[in-house]
Amino acid sequence: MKLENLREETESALYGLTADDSLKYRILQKAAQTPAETTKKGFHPFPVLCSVLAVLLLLTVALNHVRPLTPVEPGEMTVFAAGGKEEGSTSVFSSISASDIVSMELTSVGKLESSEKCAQLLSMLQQESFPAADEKWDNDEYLIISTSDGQSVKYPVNEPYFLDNTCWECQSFFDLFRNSIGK
Amino acid sequence: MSQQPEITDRSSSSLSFDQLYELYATDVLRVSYYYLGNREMAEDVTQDVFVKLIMNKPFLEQGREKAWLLKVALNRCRDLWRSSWIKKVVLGHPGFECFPAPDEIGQITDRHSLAEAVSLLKPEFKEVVLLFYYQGFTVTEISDMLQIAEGTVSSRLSRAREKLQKELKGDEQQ
Repeated sequence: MKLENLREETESALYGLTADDSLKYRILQKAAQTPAETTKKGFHPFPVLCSVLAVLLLLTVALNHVRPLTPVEPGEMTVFAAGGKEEGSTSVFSSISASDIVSMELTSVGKLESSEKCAQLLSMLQQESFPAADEKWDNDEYLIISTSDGQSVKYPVNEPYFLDNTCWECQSFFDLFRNSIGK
Repeated sequence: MSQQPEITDRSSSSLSFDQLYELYATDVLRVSYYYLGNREMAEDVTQDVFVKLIMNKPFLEQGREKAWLLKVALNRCRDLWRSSWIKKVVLGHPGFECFPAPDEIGQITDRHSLAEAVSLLKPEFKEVVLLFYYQGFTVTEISDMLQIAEGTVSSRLSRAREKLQKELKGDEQQ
């Protein structure tokens, strides 16, 4: 069997199957009729508008069901993780050394300036890794980690939490963070 | 028909409808026939493809006209194939009928076993085999036409070759 012969064999097997003038005539006739039919149908904006609105409504309901559109209070978040995107540095979350940290800041909670407590929290986050989910959403929450070399790295706190293809989960990270800074 | 439609308005291809029909309509018809195993349906697909060409005046790159025509034809075949599943289940797949040259009638049985075996492949394998071996497109071009990864094209080709080999060996043994 030589598949390379398929062209040649097809030419022979389907010799009589050719696009002839009658098919061409059919095509031209059909093409000539098509615009007239389209014009007859016309454009009706109302049903189109209704369809678009219905789709938008369904999407809103579906999205609201998956994730409430109202901002989630940080304290109510059930899981935590940092990262996914980095700004201002090439450092990755998992590679930050706990001993280098000077401060950590959660945008909606405040700043923790105890190196020791920062190290504890970071170590906990770095240890709790889970397989990454496929999607993530930004919620305008950031964890800003400042290190002793004067650099700050800003990690978006996402849902579900993402960094380097792993997730970090901590049920009460926000509470812990709040307690750590005495709020 | 005195009025020939112009299809080159928005296209960089310099070929007219007549030229495109002359050059590629038979290929579109035969690929569709391979896919559907039914002459009438293959003619309908060819009609749809060329009507779409006239009506939509798509952007056709120079030298990529046939790729566009076959891509639209295969999409249409796939739609028809899916929509006619009841017919397939109830009536079975129509056989591959040869349309030989008048002087070859009576000598077709053994000579066209490869074409027949290809026509019996599953659609996803048939598409890549037809585009690669029959129409001479490269793996990259097929990947672009079918919107699948090049690796997928290669693996489908490889699996199709295995299937054809088995099929044709089985025929030889019988």
